[in-house]
Amino acid sequence: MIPIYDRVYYTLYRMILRLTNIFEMEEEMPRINAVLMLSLLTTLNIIPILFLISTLTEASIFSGSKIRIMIALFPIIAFNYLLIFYKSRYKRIEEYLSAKWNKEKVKNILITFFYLLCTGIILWFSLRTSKGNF
Amino acid sequence: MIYKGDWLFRNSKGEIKSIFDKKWGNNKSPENLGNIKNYSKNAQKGIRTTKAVNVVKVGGRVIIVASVTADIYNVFIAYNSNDPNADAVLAKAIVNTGMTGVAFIPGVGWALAGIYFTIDATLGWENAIPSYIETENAKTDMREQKIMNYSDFKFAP
Repeated sequence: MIPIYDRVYYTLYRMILRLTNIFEMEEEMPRINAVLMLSLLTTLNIIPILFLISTLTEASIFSGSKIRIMIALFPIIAFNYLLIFYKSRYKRIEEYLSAKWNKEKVKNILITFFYLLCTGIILWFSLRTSKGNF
Repeated sequence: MIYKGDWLFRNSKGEIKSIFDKKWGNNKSPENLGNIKNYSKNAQKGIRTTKAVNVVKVGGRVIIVASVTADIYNVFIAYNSNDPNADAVLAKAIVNTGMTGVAFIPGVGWALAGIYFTIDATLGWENAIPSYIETENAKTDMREQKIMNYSDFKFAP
């Protein structure tokens, strides 16, 4: 069974290709853009978890200047890059899912849509509850 | 034609394209580029340049993603620490993200976003706005007192 992560990556990749087609542009780095979008989403998933851990353990989480936070969050982006590009894993994902795309198109799009929706809801909910409750 | 070290990519129609052909090959014939040996040299130079530009592009996009997530993180910190300015931090994060979007518009967008983020990173908007208001007030006072400044000379007939 293929992980949801791979399905989301492939759907985002297809979306970028489709958008470049609609706007009659040529995107040289659709895979990198898809990974960046995925990195943004996974970081948005990890931020509430970090705050939850800091609340439960009462440990202070990293804070300070924006650059320090950016550097601290950078490994998440690097990890996403590794997951997709290490040993050309993207080729296997694309090969496997492109063959089934016509059958599983709706399923993949729905999974991605719900993932986006859940990310938004969790983020908003944790932001609201963090107000004075953490 | 495929050149040594070329970067191939697939477009939305499923066609395999070469970076060299897209950036350099279409508008340059072998005659323009010299003999075959030079052509190959120029091709490789073109590919190297394009690759370097793409690396910079990727770096820029990574920084954008990290910047957006850092803004969101700051919003969490503000709400978590019961900061009275938490809503302002949220608004600033939204504006920052919006300006990041504006930066994708070529020309005008680059200029606007460049000015916005330069002021944000150096002076800070909290200092830039009062100092601008102060300067404008000082100019008005000078005009009222008929004290001439550089701009008066500049626009004098």
